[in-house]
Amino acid sequence: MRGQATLLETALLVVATVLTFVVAQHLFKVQYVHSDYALRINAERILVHWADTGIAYAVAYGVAGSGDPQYAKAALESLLPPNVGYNLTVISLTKGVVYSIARGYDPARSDGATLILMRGEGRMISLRLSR
Amino acid sequence: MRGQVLIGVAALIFVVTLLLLVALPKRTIGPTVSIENYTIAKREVEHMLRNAAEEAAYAVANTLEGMLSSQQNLDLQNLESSLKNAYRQYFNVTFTDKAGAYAVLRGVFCRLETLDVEIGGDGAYIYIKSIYAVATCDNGVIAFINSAADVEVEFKKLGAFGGVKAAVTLTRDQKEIQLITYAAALYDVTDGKAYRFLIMGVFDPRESIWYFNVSGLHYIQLAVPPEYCMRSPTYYIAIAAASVGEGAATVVVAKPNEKLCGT
Repeated sequence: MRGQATLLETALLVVATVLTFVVAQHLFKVQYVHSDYALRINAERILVHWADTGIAYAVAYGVAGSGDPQYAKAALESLLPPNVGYNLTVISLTKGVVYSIARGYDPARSDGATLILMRGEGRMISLRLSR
Repeated sequence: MRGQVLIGVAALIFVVTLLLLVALPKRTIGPTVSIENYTIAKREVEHMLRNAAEEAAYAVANTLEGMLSSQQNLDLQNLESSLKNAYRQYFNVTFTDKAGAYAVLRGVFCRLETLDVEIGGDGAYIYIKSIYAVATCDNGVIAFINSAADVEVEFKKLGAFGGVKAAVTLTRDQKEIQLITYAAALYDVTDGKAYRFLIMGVFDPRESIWYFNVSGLHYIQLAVPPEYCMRSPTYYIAIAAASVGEGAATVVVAKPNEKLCGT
């Protein structure tokens, strides 16, 4: 009788521990794999900086109205270290994707932000960063 | 007894781990993300106001025919209120149009709360002197723009051509703007009808002329063709100048008092 009770207690303890690990792993996945706050903050800060300095207009519209991918590349790579990948997509609100540039980008380990500019027909700048 | 304690400890570890995992990331990182999200939203609305201010200036300059075809507006003093009302109207329309598109994308509707426009001038010309606009959104974002323009217009005789030299300084929050775009046209009023003759660029931000100057002072120099400058002026010179995404803009309407060429 005593042996059975011990066995039951041990089994319950094992179940509780395993359950804790499973739930913990699930929560970590939700918080840190599918959404990386640090990368999102960085992407948002870069976009705010671009909006404040006017770089956003050069990136999204350029002089001719079709954006400036070379300038965007230089602006991004002067800010991001080589181990951080990125994908920058400029979308016209009426004509679809204007251009897209990327470097070492891994969508599975990424997060990002978007900025909408309403000059002319409007542009959406989507910047995603990955580790 | 020993077994119950063990189960109790295991349950406690389970509950504490759950609480920490659910609560900690949100408490430590959540507010920072909220700040960034709010900043992005505020910038977007602010830039919507800026773009509306710039595009409204070009729209007004593009539709001066209507204003100049009215007899009472031929006097620059009377034109002041028409220019102000037209600019307010175009700003409102442009902003509402953009706010509609923005609402579709972000699910947040913004409205224009305040719009103050001042007109300045000096006898032979009038211009939009300052723009102050505030927008509020459903998500609590409040954004504003505050920009001003300083304009001096000078008429010159340049032999066969007449000359118009406008010194334009645009400022946003007391900061001079270095990069502007501009366009200019001549509106000839004959028999109560105004006809447009484009001088430089087109009254459209995409087809205007880009002008960068480190000092922030921009000289816009125009030539009036002989067929106009040789007769007593019944024409008006219109200049639209705007920043690129800074929210500063002006429309200048000038009328020479005498012939700008010939005898």
